[in-house]
Amino acid sequence: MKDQISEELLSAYFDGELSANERVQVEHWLNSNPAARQQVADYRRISRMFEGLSRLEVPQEFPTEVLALAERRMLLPNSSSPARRAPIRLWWMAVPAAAAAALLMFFNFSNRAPDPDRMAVANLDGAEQRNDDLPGPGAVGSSSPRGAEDDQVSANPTVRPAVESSVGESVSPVAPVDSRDVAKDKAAAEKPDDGAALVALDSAIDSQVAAVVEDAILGAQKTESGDQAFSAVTVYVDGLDGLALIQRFLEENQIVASSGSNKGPDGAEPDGEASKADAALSPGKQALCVVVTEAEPLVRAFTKMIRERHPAIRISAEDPIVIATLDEDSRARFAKAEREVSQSLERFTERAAKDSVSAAAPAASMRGDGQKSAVAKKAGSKSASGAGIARRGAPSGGPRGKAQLMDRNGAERIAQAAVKAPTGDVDHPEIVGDADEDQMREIVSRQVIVPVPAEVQNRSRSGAPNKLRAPISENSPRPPAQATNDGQTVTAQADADEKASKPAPMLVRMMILIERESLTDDK
Amino acid sequence: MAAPSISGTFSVDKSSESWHYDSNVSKPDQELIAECLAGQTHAFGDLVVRYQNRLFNTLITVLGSVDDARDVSQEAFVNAFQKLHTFRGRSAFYSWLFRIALNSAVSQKRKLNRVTVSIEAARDQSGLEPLDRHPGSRPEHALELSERQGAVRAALAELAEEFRTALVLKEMEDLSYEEIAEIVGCPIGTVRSRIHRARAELRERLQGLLQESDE
Repeated sequence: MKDQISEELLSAYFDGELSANERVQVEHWLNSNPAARQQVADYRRISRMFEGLSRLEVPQEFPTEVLALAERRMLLPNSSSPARRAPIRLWWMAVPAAAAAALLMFFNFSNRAPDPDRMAVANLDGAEQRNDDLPGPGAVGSSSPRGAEDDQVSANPTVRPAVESSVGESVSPVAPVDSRDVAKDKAAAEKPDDGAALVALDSAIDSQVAAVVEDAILGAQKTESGDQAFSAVTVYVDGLDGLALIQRFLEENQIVASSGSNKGPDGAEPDGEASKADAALSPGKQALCVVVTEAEPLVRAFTKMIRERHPAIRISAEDPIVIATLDEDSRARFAKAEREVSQSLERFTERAAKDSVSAAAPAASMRGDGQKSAVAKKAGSKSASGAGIARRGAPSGGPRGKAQLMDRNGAERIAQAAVKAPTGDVDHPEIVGDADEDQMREIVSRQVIVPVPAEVQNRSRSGAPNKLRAPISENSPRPPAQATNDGQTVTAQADADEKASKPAPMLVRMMILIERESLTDDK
Repeated sequence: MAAPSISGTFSVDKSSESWHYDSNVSKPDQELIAECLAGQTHAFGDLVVRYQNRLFNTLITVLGSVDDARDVSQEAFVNAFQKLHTFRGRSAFYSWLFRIALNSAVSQKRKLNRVTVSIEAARDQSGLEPLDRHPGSRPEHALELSERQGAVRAALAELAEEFRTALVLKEMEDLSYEEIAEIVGCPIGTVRSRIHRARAELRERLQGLLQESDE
């Protein structure tokens, strides 16, 4: 019994867990007991065996899975399955398609593919920084017989950056391609995903793509839960060709995007078309902002973009998905804009309900009977260029025609029509008799209109003019949305903006710009 | 060069209308916890990143299964997220987290005394990457190392769960007896006894390896 107690004391002595008196006693005992010394030596060897055990690293998607599952639990308390085993689609459907959700994805543009070496350095730097931040193991007392070399034992593994999405690793940088040819070929091969699954994650998409999409969904969910958040993905494109391709991907999913700052490195505005082209092609970052009220089309576009793996587009692993909160001022801006979307939806829904009762003729005209809506006619009559409302997506005679804003003037008129006739006295092109809530959401999401560079407009579609885009005529970067809280305010603005040169008072016009080096340092 | 980060804060520069991003990586646990409780749930992602591999590897050794360790790690983080408002900060966040992990393991009816298989085999199956890669090491050395690790893990798997947990927390986490007692929910004296018993058994089971290393 005495030996056993002594061994336990010896073990505690090895761990530095004895009082000063006990330590003196044990050390005295060790001096006269070779077997005890051997025992302590064995403890040290065992401890080194623990050090030698392999340490594994959790998959990159682990933090995302944890957050997704945690938030799903908040929404659906009974959900218990681990996120990694939950079908993506179920996860997605668990997210209520809140009307006011705003998912923002930022695309940083570079005119070259990322240098793999530089990316590796970035990851290494990240790991080092993480390690510095990690709390160290519990302090080992100076009296611990484990010794100084044992103090180096760390329970902290090397931590790699948490969320990285690397897609298309096998794609090497290539010379610029003719986007018109590519767009032509792709457009011929692809058709709109009408009625397609929300997020058709199947075997055709690898896990990396799934991770990217999941992150995008996560960003949407976080926004819907009230935490202003958005996702940022670095997309390296091959100059304007890649940019045009991305535009096309987004267009095909009826997502309207904006280009970001064209400012030069010194903050100066570009001068003329040539300068704009230079800015778009510069190694610095260009920001493309996508604002949508629901994530589905964006996710679909992103999935398609990744699937095609065009050499002019490369998703970088350098920057992870970023989920961020906004500071107070920014939060207020977003909240204001979100209220706009929400209020717009309410107005549209109310009007849709009225129209469904009255079965107004203009509504029927928008259901695919090939007629122009009243407002479309009105817009056409007012605009010498014929700009205004036009139909897109569904062919004439299709089951459900959808109005589509075609340019800034059209958007302006829609906004004015919406606010000038709050009681429903004026035809509204977006109001269709059988409009359901989803359709309303889609309509609102399309009303986020922002300009893109003229160079992109001209090249994003083969042969045909880019009807979706308004010419870039505003200063860039544009100021954030001058969101309004009520229809009266918007009406006042609309009345004041009769001048064609002034920005249109659109229901939602958020313009988020990222400074060129705000996400990465491209030295 | 800016290090990749999972979360941070975007703020707008009013003068230039441009956006800036600040990472959360250097924030202490308590600050991240406070942010999370204030509604900035993304801050919890930083806590996950900070402790995920540490928890994961310790649980592998405790549970003897990579899959179980991953499931329990995930469940522990999720439970911690849900119970974060109950965390009073009297102990370190990681200690609190690990206690949740142990409870999660029990609640999921994991067999804590499961006999482990080779962690390398599990790694091959799972596709997980080791953290401590030594590309320059000799193949025969790697094989020898693998065999030794297998022997150690097998010996650990033979230990009673409570002995193994206490010793792993001591050896891998370098926690104090007091911290271990808090995590496993027993007196310090019991922790001391368990660690001693675990060492004594390991010493007996690994006698061959200990003698080899003695030579």
